[in-house]
This record gives sequence, C-alpha cells and structure tokens, in this order.
Amino acid sequence: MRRARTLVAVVLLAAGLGWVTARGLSGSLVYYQTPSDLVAGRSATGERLRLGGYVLPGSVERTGSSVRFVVTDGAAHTSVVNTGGVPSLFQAGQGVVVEGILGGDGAFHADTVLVKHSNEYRPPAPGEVPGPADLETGG
Amino acid sequence: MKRSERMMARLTGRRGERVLAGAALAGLAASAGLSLLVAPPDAIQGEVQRLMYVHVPAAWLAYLSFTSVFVASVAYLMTSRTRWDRLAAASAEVGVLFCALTIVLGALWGRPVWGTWWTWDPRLTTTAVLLLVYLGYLALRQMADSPGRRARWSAVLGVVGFVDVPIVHMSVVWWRSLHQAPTVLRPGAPTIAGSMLAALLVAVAAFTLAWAYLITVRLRVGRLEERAATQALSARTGGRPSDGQLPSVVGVQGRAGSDA
Amino acid sequence: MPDLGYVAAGYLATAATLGGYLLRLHGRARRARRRTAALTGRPARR
Repeated sequence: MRRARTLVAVVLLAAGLGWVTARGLSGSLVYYQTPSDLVAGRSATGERLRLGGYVLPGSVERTGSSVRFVVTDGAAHTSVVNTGGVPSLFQAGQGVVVEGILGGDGAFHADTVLVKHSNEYRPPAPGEVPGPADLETGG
Repeated sequence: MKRSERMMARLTGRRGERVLAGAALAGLAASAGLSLLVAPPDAIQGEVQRLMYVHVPAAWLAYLSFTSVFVASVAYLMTSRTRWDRLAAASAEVGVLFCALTIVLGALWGRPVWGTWWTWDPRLTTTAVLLLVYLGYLALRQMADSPGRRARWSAVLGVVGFVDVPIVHMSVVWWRSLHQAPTVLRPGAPTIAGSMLAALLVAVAAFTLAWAYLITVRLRVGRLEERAATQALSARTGGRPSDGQLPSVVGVQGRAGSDA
Repeated sequence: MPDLGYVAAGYLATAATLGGYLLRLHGRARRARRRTAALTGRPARR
C-alpha cells in the first residue's frame, strides 16, 4: 500500500514537472518571430532575434556577397538583407529561419540563413534532377 | 519456474543471444542495402536524405529505451524485484548511446540541409535535455551508496525523467522550430513516398532487433558484474556467497581494473 | 564536404557506435568473469 502511494506521488510529481516545463517553454522559448509578430511591434529593433517564414517568390536579388529577399508568413512581409552565405537548398518559396537584427529602416539585417525543410519526402519525377537546384536558377 | 520465465531464460540464453545477433546483423545488412542502394534519393534534398534511414531509427531506439526504463522503474517501485532494476539500468545505458547517436546524425544531416550543425530550436533543445537527464540517471547509479537505495532512487528518476520523451516528440508540433514535423508518427497518412517508407520501416525493424540484442548482452554483463562484486564483498567479509538470487552490490557498474 | 561525405560519415558513425558498444560489453564481461574466477579459484559460470 505504501509502495502504491509512493508510486502515485512520483507519477503526480512527474506530470507536474512536465506541465510546468511545457508551459514554461511555450511562453519564453519562442524559437523565431514571424513577420506578423514584427509588424505587431513585439520585438525591439537592434536586438538579435530570429525571423521565420517563406521566401516570397520573385523577391530574391543577389548583389555581390549579399542577398536580399522578402520573408512572408502569408499575412505580413519583412525585407531581409543577408550578408552571410545561404544554404544550397535556399530558393523561392522555401521555408527559412534567418538570424540577425531588425534595423530602424524596417529591414531585417541577417548574417545567418537556415533552411526549414518540409516533412515531405518523394523520389524525383522522371527527368527531374534530385538535390538542391542550381544557385543561378534557385532565385 | 513459470513458463513465461522459462521462455525468457531461453531467449536470453547464449543460444538465443546468437540467434538474435544473427537476425539483427541480417536485418541491418538488408536495411543498409535498401537505404543506400534501392531507395531513391529525395527530389529536394538529394542523396543526403539517406541519413533519415539511420537518424530516425536511432531516435526511435532512444524513445524505446527510455520507455523501457520507465516501465521497468514502475515495475521496480511496485515489486522491489532486482531484475526490474537491472532492466532499467541496461535500457538507460543503451538509450544514452542512441540518444547521443541521434544528435550526431542529426548534426550531419542538418549541416548540408539546414545550413547548421546545431541550433537551439525546441526539438534539439529538448533532446539535449533528454540526453542530460539520462546521463544524470547513469551518474546517480554510480553514486548511490547501497544497492537498495540505488535501485529506489534511480527508479524514481526513471519515472520522472520519462516526462521529457513525449515533450521531445511533440516539440515540433507545439512550438515553432527549425526541425520538421513528424513524417510517420503523426495523425493522418505519412508524408513520404512508399518506396522510401518501406526502407524506413525495414530500418526501424532491423534497429529494433539490434536493440533487443544489445539489451540482452548488457543484461548478461550486468549479472556477471554483480556476481563478481558479490564475490569480492564476501571475500572481504569472509562470509560465503549465497548461490541463488545474488544481491547487487555497490560500484559494479562498468568498473574496470580492480582485478585481483 | 559533398553530400555523400555526410551520408558516409553518418553510416560509419552508426556502425562504429553499435560495434564499439558491443566490444565494450564484451570487455566488461571478460573482466567480470576473470574477477570472479580469481576470487573463487574456479572458472565462473555465465
């Protein structure tokens, strides 16, 4: 009987810990902001943060060592100027998470671009070359 | 002896062990062939997507191991039988191994696809916490000063620590993350082509066989180490070791170099 | 590193993990058996 009570106590403790951890994480550990969050003004300019969304098709411009593009979440857009490199899977329509600083000019100045790929996997269609598209055609 | 125990004994006997080893090896070889040669490359990611066939099974085995720790810990708290404590210890060790392997394989996959080896996204962070919890579990087992206390304390941690397993799995659904959402273990149909899903399922089955083999060997090693420690203790105290159910003794876990 | 390099590294890491752990367990079993044999003066059962 005592053993059963100990077990119940331990399970309750575990469940409580899990609940607290989950709540704590969802409140304070937001991995990236969306363009809508930025528009709502929830992030201070000049602070290092991450921005996530999709690369707006037709917005990618490469000038020298930097890449400009627009990140969208469907509702709002944010212009990004990236001075770091981009992964080979970077292309129009791709999900990305960029790291950098929101400038006073409203543009996001990034030094890191990460590609957020989907959870879908399929073989290449007949004639399709598997793997990342060529950088020149990727925009 | 009950029939179930006799079946268990046959499975964990040396002959059962060899059969299991053969099955696991054949399974892994078949899986490697399917994953590397038969399955098509991914249309988007190319060849590097083949890392999925080792990364996902490794993560599955980490989940399976920690679930085994949880079940054995609950069973120990209810029955106080040493065999459950042994199973928990074996599962935790194997689980730490595969959890670390999952992180390494994820980094190798993340670098070419995401563009980074590591980032503090919810899935990666909770997985790192998972590894730390069970490293702590193994450390606790080394530290406890009596076998009974070691078994009780680690059983409690084995129950509490398990909380992180569902959190790791759901992290990509609950929070914004870089890591993609589940492909197979999700509501609705898997979002993967049939030929790739087949290779993945074979890999998971083969890795599970390998897991069963590793646990069996680790349980046998645990029994041998307990026996040696019991003999050492009785040699020191001058008593005779009892031959039946051997009590576990302090400091047996992987201690080398104390050969007489 | 080309893509196949990452794949090779991953599969080798997996094989090394499985093989390395088995070897380690083997060593632990041998040491335990030797320790028991030294203490009792007769070869240990499995």
